[in-house]
Amino acid sequence: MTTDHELFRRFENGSPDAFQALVRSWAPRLDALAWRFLGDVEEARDVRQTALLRLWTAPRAATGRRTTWLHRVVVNLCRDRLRSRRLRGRSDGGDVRIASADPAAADAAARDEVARRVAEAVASLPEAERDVVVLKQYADLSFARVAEILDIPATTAKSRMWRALAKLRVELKECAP
Amino acid sequence: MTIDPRAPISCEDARALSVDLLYGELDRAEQPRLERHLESCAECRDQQAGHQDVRKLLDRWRPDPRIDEVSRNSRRTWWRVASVAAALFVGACLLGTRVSWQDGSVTFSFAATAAVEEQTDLAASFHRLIEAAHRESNDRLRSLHEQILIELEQSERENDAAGAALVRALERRLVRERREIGAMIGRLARAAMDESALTRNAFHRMGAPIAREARGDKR
Repeated sequence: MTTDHELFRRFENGSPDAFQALVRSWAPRLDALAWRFLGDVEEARDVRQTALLRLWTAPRAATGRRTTWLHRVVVNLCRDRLRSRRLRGRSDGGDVRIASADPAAADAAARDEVARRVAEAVASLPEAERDVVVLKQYADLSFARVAEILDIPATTAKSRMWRALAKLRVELKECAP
Repeated sequence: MTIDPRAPISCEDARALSVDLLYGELDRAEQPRLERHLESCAECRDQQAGHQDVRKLLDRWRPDPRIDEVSRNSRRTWWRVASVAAALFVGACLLGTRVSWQDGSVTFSFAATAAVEEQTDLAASFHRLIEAAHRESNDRLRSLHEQILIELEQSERENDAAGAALVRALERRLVRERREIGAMIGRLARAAMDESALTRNAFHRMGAPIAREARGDKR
């Protein structure tokens, strides 16, 4: 099986096939990551497309470690969109009601009250803590990678995670087993 | 650098280690230090327990069905591969056994069955015995495999050290299972031998190597 590293190497050498393979491999991951931030499938796909387009157009040497770079692009794009929502006054639901921003997602979430409350609680975290939670808990990356993506020390990523979990514990008190 | 397990740590350090523990990243060498701190600090102990519950709650937020969350699936892939590999290890020990992996389940089929199908009626009884062995071993291995997957999921052990220990335990269990299946085939083979002299001949020609290989005999 071709690894991401190998695909990125071939992509850097100008292989269009490698880029297609990267898109196939990475699109679902990027969709999932963006969806956790935005709660909207179509918006998540837009973010993914933009990120992959940037990968295609970015100067090869400028991206550093590709996987980190891709994650970082998605996180930044999602932050921008969430900020835009707030500025447009969509915060009456917007990023706080992360899982209900999309009707289908709302239906799915409604089937599980706990899931809905978890989504809301994560979305209500301060940006810095929310980013760590999404990357660690839902993108399943190591703290070292999370720190690299967010350009912070690993110890900071861990302390943010700890604070976030403490807040979530309070927010989700009624859902606790 | 050597870590002194008796050296006390601050609550701040304990929190960082607790987060590592929650997400399976705790260095084994650090574990005694964290344990000692948690034994003596009720506040950190309470927070650790609470955070553990929160972490489980966070898993309840499942992705939209239209989102193919490969990232989470991939987390389990390693475990699945490990367990399937271990199952294949058993399957490969059963001479003539085909093993396939499809839609999250393992299927074992005796290649020997097809070969036997073309034999005479006298061999048909042996064929039936092999089929019975097939069904039983298939059921047992599938059941074992499902049990392993459930345990792996429940354990949520994601770090390599814990994973390696789990796989070793898994391999030991599968070796035991392999011996039991070998013994089962041996018993079936003996039953076949009792059935008739001709069946016995058929068994010696085709079945004995299967039982011998399944038992792990070298010769």
